[in-house]
Amino acid sequence: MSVVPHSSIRLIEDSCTSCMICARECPAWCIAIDSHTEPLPGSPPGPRQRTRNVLDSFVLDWSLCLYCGICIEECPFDALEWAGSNVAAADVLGGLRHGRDQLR
Amino acid sequence: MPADRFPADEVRRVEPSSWLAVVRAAASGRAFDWLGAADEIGRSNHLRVVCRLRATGGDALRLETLIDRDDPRLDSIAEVYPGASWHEREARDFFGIAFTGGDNRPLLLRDGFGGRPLRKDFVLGARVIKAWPGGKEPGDAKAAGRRRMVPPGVPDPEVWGDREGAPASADEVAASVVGGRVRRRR
Amino acid sequence: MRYWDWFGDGSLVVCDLGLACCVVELEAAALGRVRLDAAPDGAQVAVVVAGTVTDAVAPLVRKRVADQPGDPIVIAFGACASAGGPYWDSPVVTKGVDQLVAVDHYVPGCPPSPGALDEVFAAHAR
Repeated sequence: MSVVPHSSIRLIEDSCTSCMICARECPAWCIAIDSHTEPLPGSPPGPRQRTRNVLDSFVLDWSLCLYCGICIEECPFDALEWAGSNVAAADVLGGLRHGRDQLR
Repeated sequence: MPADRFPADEVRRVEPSSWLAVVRAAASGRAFDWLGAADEIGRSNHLRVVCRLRATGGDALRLETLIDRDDPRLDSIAEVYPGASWHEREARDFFGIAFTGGDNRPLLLRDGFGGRPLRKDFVLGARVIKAWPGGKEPGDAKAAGRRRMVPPGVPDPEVWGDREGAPASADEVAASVVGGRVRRRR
Repeated sequence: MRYWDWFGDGSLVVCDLGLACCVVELEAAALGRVRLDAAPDGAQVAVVVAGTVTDAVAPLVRKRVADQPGDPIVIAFGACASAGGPYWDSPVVTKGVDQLVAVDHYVPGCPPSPGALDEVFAAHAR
């Protein structure tokens, strides 16, 4: 088994269902998620129409993250994993808020 | 490491009135390990004070007592274990316990710090000011979900704030601190 | 006040404000560098705030930064110094050293790696 240093956390968007579990479990409250509901393609309209959640934004604030890995452990869909590279320093505090593009 | 390397502590429940006497009687051959406290709110209106003693190279003994949460006082054990004094001062800072015959100077908190921050009904201002990111439901574009969720560790404002009618009971505060759904009372 | 001569040429000297465990990484980054008892004339001073800033030490942090010669670079090293980190909800912790002094660089991590500090200074040396 290889050991990945706890340097940063990666979001695998295709696996994320916007279930909010990581955001609720994070002790630092550093994960913020926006999502909306769409009809599932092929599901007939009406009261029984099936829907799915679509991820709009996923922001991880590295200025608060304590690298505890609870979000990774708790994700039922393995949509978060340790990644090897350090998060770069920022010149403004908001620069440590990483969205989907930076968490890939 | 096998579990029996860490045998369970022997636990003895002690009446507050005999706290010092029991500690003194148990002190022979045992060293002081630590003393701490816990807020029992939700289970009973008490603070639990715990003192752990350890026999040299042997088993640990945990002495526990429940004291009135509204008038928390207990005899200091510093005359038996001088090292317990710092622990008592910490418990005084964080839980508001007065240790009779002990050193009751603040240790970690400044004089004038309002509140006892390790009591479960202590409200952390930072958690009130910041919206909990977990408060949304999946698929909800807006911040407020249909179900009201409160984060773990934060008493619900319905319970701790100024509100009409009777003050919150201990179990209401404790239930709201655990997180999850909030039971509204009228 | 003591400094590390970061590049050994007197160009950049580093003052550490080690307040909690991040200072271990800071000291690892500084290992083997020359210690100075004062900042040489003309040197760029950098203040590295490493660790949790409590409200109790906030006045000292502010003073230590104000006492630096020239226009010091201030680096918030780690999550605590950046925004309070794991102690963001504590009633006695300052939520980031930037509430006291202007910060030039925020280094994330709990703790950051020693190399992260090297990267920041290397960018300054260029």
